[in-house]
Amino acid sequence: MELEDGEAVARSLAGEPEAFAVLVRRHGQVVHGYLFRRSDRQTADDLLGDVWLRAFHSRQTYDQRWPSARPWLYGIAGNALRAHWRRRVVDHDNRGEVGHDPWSDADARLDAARLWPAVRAALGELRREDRDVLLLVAWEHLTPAEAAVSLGIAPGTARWRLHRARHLVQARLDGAPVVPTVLYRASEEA
Amino acid sequence: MDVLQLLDEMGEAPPAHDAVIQAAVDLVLAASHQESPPGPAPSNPIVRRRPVVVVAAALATMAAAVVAVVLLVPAGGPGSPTTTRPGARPGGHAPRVITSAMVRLISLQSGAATADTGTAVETTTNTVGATIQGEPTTIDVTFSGPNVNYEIVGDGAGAAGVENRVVDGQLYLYVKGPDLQMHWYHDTSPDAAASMSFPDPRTLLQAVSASAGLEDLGQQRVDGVELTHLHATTPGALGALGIPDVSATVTSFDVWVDSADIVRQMAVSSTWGGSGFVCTVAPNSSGSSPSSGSVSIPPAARITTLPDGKPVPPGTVCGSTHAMSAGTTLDVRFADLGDPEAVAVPSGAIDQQGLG
Repeated sequence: MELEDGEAVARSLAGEPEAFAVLVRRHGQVVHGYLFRRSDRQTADDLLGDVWLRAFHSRQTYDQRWPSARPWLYGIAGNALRAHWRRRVVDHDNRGEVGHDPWSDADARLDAARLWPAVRAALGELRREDRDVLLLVAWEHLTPAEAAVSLGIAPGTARWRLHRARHLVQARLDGAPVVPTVLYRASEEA
Repeated sequence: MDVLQLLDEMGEAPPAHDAVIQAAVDLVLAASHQESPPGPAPSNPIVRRRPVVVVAAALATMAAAVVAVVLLVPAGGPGSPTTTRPGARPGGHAPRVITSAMVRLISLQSGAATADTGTAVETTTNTVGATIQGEPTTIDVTFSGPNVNYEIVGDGAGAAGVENRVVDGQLYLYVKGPDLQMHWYHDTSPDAAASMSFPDPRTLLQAVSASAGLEDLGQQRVDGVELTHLHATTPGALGALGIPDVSATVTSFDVWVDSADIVRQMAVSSTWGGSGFVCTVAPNSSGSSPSSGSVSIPPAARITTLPDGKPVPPGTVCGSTHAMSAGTTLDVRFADLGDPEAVAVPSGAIDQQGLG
């Protein structure tokens, strides 16, 4: 019987580092999917190894009480992706802009979907923190609590950000005006 | 339609290729092996008698023949890169750019495989303009952790048999002494080992990086072993590697990797251009300068190229400067990785300062 995620990490920390490979085989595809949806196939292929090396070297930060390592892995993948975009900005523009939001660069591959342009535009209007929660729940099928683990925030904050993101995107798709100021005002109260 | 449901339908991702997932698994396993406690040391390490070495031209009593040396002073940056591709591409194989994860895996695996013991043969060929200068220099290298032996087995300049050995940060030289016999000397100068002019072949592994833009040219059989030939499409991005013999900008870089993702062979070329000058050198036992200052450009076969920064032998007299370009190709072949090797302090080494 294959090791549970927590058990594999525990063993890898207790003198059997190769036990960590269980996680790569189990979650490699979903982590690749996470990267693909936020970039493209080439970037996902390139970054996957980096994500797993980061995970391996920081495995002591995984809370083994969580039955699945996926939320934790998505957090690492998100950091790797942001580092990649920062490097790209530095390499190509020599601007060194920290905190560059890659959203505007990503995802021409879903243009064929009829609603995608509108959805994409709506997603582009979201604050990055809100979009992260929304897509972790919608694309990676995490619960808000798991998304909170992934992003290192409180569950209540994740729930509020999800609510806010859904509201804004829905409003955009319905053609209704939104008032970002009101939506954002309560952001740190959760 | 609910936003989450809508996004879910839009967010379908095609599966990754098995090779990409496997590369990630291999990468983690490689990192695991580096983290694992080392195995027991060999109970009976074999001390190889193979000489290792170095050239101490100032001390070694070389023949008093006049040797011509071209010293290049880089001016205005590196020369134009020449992207000649060594080796024939196997027929019908389309080059495939390998991912940075795979490159990293090769780098990790090779670093781990060469961290302990092994041997290598380094062959350095120098050119000035388009002319190969003299015979290539061939060095047998034996390494055991940080301790390394270099033995010159052929260079066409009378240095064959000379050895350099670095043990625990100390430099030992096997060269001719005043009695014209070969002796082991221990250079007691501070940082003598740092002045070593031969590259540790393992330092060249740093060039196995994503910035090289490595592409897979297919399989090649080398010495009976099936190896994958990787060729750098952007060697200029490697810049100056800063290791002896490859101090200028890299213009081509090729790697041959085995089925365990370990580098077995590398070839790197670098060129540099600028103003240079021809010098005549007459090394002798006393290190005094030659009496004649007359300088002329000697035949190409008698010119040796020294990369910028290398010490000038005593007795050097140089002529006027002129524009020139020069290049170096360094070929490294690893062998015996993991076999028991020991690089020990040579017995009876004579302490002496300022040999290197």
